[in-house]
Amino acid sequence: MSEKINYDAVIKRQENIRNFSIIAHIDHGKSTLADRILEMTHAISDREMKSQLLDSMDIERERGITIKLNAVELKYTALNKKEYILHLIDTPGHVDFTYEVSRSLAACEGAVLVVDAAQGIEAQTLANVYLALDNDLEILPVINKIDLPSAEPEKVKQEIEDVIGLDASEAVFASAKEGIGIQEILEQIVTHIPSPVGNPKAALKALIFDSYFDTYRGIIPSIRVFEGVIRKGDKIQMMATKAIYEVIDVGVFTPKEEKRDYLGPGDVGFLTASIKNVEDIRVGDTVTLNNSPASSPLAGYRTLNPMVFCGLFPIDSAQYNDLREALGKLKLNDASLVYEPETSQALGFGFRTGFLGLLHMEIIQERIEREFNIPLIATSPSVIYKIYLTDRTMIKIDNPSDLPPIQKIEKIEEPLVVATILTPEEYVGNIMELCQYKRGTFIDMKYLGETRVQLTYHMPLLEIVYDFFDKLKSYSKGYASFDYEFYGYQESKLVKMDILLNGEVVDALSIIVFNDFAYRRGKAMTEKLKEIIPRHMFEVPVQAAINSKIIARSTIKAMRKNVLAKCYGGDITRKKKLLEKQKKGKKKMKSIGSVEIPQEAFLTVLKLDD
Amino acid sequence: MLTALYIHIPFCDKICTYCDFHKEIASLEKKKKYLYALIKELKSHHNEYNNISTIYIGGGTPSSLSIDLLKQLFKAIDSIINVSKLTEYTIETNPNDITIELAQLFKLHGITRVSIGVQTFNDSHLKFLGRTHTRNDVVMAINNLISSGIDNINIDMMFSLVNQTIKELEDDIKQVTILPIKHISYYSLILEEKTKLYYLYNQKKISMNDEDIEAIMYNKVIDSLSEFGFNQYEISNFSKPGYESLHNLIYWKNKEYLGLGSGSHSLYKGKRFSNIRNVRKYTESIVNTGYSLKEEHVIEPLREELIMGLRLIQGVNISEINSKYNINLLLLYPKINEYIDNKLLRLKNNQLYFTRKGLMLGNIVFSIF
Repeated sequence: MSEKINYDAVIKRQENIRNFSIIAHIDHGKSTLADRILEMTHAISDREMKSQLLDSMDIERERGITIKLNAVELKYTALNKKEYILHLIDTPGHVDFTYEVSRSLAACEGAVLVVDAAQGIEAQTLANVYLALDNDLEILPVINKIDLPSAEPEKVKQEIEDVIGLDASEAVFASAKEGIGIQEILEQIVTHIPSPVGNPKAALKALIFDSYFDTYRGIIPSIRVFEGVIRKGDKIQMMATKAIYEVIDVGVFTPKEEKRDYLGPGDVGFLTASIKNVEDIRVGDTVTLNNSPASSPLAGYRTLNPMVFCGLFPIDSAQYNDLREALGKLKLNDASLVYEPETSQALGFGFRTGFLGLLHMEIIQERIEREFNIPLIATSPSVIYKIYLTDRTMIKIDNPSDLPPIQKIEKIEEPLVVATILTPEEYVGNIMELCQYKRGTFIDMKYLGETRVQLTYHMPLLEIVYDFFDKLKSYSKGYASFDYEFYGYQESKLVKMDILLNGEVVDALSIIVFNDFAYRRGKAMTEKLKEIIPRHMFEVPVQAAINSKIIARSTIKAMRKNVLAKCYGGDITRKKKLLEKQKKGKKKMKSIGSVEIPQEAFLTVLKLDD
Repeated sequence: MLTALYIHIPFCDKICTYCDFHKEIASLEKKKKYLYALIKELKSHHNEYNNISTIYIGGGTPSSLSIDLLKQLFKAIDSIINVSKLTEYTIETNPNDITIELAQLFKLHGITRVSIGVQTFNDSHLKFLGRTHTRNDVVMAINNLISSGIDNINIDMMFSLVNQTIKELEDDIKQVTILPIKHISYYSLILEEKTKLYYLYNQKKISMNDEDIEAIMYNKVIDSLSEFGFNQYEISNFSKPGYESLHNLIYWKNKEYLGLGSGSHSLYKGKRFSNIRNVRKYTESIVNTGYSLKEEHVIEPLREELIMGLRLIQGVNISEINSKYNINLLLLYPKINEYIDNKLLRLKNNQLYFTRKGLMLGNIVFSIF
């Protein structure tokens, strides 16, 4: 159905659109500020107001971080009496989600930078600001939590100017919690952030910056229109995947879905086209009209390479297809998730999955278990190694089981990252010790402000993957923050350590480890496994080996007593339930050879006290 | 055919730290009302008692009822059932309740068997468990019973108590086996939710014995008791020949029984059900409607027959089971053969039963079904 577009109306509307994101370090108040903005623009009635509305997933709420992106259209009447259309595009706040942050920033013209008045600038604040600057965004600094007794807004304002180099003369002093400064922020958004440029008559170019799956309507991409207009009934083309679809609906989020007749330049919203094929939609891709396509796609579509890998296997092998489907659906709003089929002798069929980091990995695992009901075994995370062979060739592996026999190896290289750590000065000693312990090479140390230190180290990614973040937090009472980025490869003395249960190697427990750490880790792993693996009817020896040489061992004693002492007439019902509970516990175990291994065994070996 | 009757008295004078049975401390008034309801329920089934051969009065502590209330109960039972025809009539008691007067009352009303809760003879363990009697009380109680003509006496004991040593266990065994009794039930201390013990355990104020010690103790109990003439006939039950508990055998042989009183269970007319497990609600519903509120339970005849039957040392008879349920047990549960090979079970002359090793790891076999 083709109605004539009133282009004047489109251009008029465009002038009053402001697209912005809120960027901040975790816990600096981004979500609370977002709530306040939603409240002030009456996007949701007070009765419907649920705190932290944009953090709609349980897992996010539990961990206090935002993962999913949402893009809400808000109407704001400014002090000059004009009505503006604001699009708040939410961004996640953790180091693992750089790509997601950059995608949503690509859909904006401005960013509200929130900094905690008591904590000041932290590692992610910096990372996100640089991203925003890369995207040419207008940045509005906001100093939040001024209600706290420890708040030092003037100091932080100075920090912003000195450390980032941003003009903070108009920085808003706010308290999202108390509702202070919100209107100033909205006014600045309206006056300082430019309206979107873009010609509604030009060829359609819309950026897919997110997507989600709806059981009835299929995959729903979130789009930001840059050029042209998109309407119900249009035949569109995805420029990277070449997929062609007919638009069924377009609309915006208020935050609920609201249909519109068309979306023009500057508009942020969604489209439905009954898209069922996961491969057709790629976040970062450009949508254009099939009949008069744009000459070139929007820039900024880049695939970030995964840093950390693990094997994911369904405990129940019958759920293999369910797992594949789940990964496909998760990839819809998480382009950085990569996966391919993998087979393990011990665990059967599964997937080798790649993530931007450990947190990313943990969240995906939890989502698969909770949203898709697939109990999983995750094998130890590993990184990509470069193996130089004696025959002068080089191969890359990410699975310890793929390591060629030692005689064929000339040298092994492992990935290095540059780690930036921000910490109060009293913890510098502890942290430097930690980094050294984790095979880090000291690069730089400098003061940011009077009591905060920025440390830079080169560290093997392998050591970061093994509980570095947790240790960093505990050595600094939670105050340190860190960010990392791929740096390059270095040669290291690395070996493959195998774990044997009841005399048989369990390939899924193999890890690649730095040679000097091998004995200690082997001992810790065998002890930990002894605690986690329940007793069997026979004694189970647990051994760690390198090149078939046993370097550590422990023994799981045989079961001696396991019987219901009492069972009379009144007990049967209850005792049957007890037996059932025991049986259910067994279902959560994976049988490998003759040994039953609980789910946790594969990952708990990560949380060793070594 | 209904041959077994269970009567529940959910009252105690003091609550033991480990017990999760249905019991409470109550006023005399409440006990009177309960008894009134209980007797009403008893009488409501008067047509069904033609074949009753065993009665078991359990609790709580039945002997904590006053003599008057006990008389009331016994008289009511006498009025409906010919107690002289019973093969066994049991009541559970605490040692310090059994005065000569009470023992004579028991005899007068046809009681043939008395079960005494002792648990241990060690004073500090007794204190920890919340038991209020002494060794002397036990000896006195037994004397009173025997002199009143009741010699079919059972003592309940517990091993693997918190911090109990093997030496202490040996002392207990010695002390219990020299008493002139016919039956011993010996259980390992089990941590049950909703008990004081569990609470202490969660607070990490106590720890339970480890599995290996429990295993050693259990073996010791079985071996020692048999040395002294108490043969093991069920996982936790031992007796002189001919003095096995007939009423409890009904449970293990998966036969019918009817339960009276709050919280009591029944297997009757092809169903499993229980009375509401609350004294006040039970009493009210009997008074108001003549019936107790009931809850029905899942019944799995074959599974229950196997889980209960294997508890008996003699085990189950495979051909009987095969014809009763029209199955081939060994084909239906091939794991049985595996466990025979592993020496947990033995099959001889169609009897399938636990080996000593199997007894220790019984749950593994029960889980098959």
